[in-house]
Amino acid sequence: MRERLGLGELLDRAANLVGRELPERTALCVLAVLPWRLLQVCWLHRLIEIAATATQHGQYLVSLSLWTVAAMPLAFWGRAQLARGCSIALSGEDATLARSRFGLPWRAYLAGLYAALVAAALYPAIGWMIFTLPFVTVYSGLAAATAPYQERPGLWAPLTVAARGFASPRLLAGLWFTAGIGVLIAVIQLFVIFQLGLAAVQTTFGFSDVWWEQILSAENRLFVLLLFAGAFLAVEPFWIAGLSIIVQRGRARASGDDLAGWIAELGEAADLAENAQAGEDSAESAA
Amino acid sequence: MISTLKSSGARTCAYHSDRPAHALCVSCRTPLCRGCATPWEGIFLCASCLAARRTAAERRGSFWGWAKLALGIAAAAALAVFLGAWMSGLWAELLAAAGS
Repeated sequence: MRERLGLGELLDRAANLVGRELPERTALCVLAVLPWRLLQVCWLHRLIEIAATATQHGQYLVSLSLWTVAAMPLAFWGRAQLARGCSIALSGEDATLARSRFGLPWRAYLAGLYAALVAAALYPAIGWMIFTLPFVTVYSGLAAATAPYQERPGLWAPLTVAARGFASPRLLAGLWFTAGIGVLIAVIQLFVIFQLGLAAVQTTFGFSDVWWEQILSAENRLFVLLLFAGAFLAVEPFWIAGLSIIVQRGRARASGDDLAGWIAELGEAADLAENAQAGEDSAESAA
Repeated sequence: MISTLKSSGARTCAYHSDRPAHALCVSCRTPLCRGCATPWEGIFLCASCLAARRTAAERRGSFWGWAKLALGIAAAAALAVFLGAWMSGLWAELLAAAGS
């Protein structure tokens, strides 16, 4: 608990949480986020289509934006469920508890959703400046990662709880870069998988379908956007788990749980040493 | 701080009979040892009275807290919708103009 957490260890722990300890919650998170990601793809695709005349389609853009934001509560619920599973697993409780104890207090959910919506509003407000994008992305993730710890309603309290996650900027920066690279790698891998699948079907069944080739080509904008959505879906659970670990570490340090754990370990070590000494003494007296 | 046990006849803590009483709970007048007496806004309280006051304070704050949160959710959602539509439209047009 007390040693400094490195990026490698953080990623290992996140991968372990997602892959081994919380597979059900990971699946739930992906399923809940899926409609939101698809709506984002739809929005971006339409936006690119109407590009030059975009501002003349204000009402249409608002309706697309409305649908995307309407899918956020479900997406946030999935993310918060995964974060809750991570917080249970990281608190030292049994992994089976982390799997079985579904359900997030609705107060915590609403307070976290508010922070997530503020982050969603921050994307168009300041996220277009390149240097602010990491901040907004991290804040959006922290809104989900801190959801299990949201206790007080209000205008500022939920935002403050989420903002406290910024206490480890180096780790956050490392995680952000790793997640970004992870998304790019996932996009390439998905593209290759689709191409290999197409080639396998063509060689196995001996047909050449130009229509499918066009659909699954890099020139198809919608396909590329869907690849990115898939990559984000694949990386998202690791991102949330990583942020949950950072948040949990920060809280343990701030609340003294870290120190309490250390003292308990010291006590156990002292008991062990005492037992060993007693064993040596009895052996000497027997000799 | 205020109601230490100088004037009280109680000698031991109501919860720990082996510990000397240090203060009285201002609310229920229970003698408390150093471990049980919690100073709160300049007065000593026992755990149950402190919890009761805290709950009352939370209840008082909760209505406005929830009202503010509801308002915040509605405002943030509206802002995300309209700002998102406006900024993305603007950017799409600017990028298209730059591309052509």
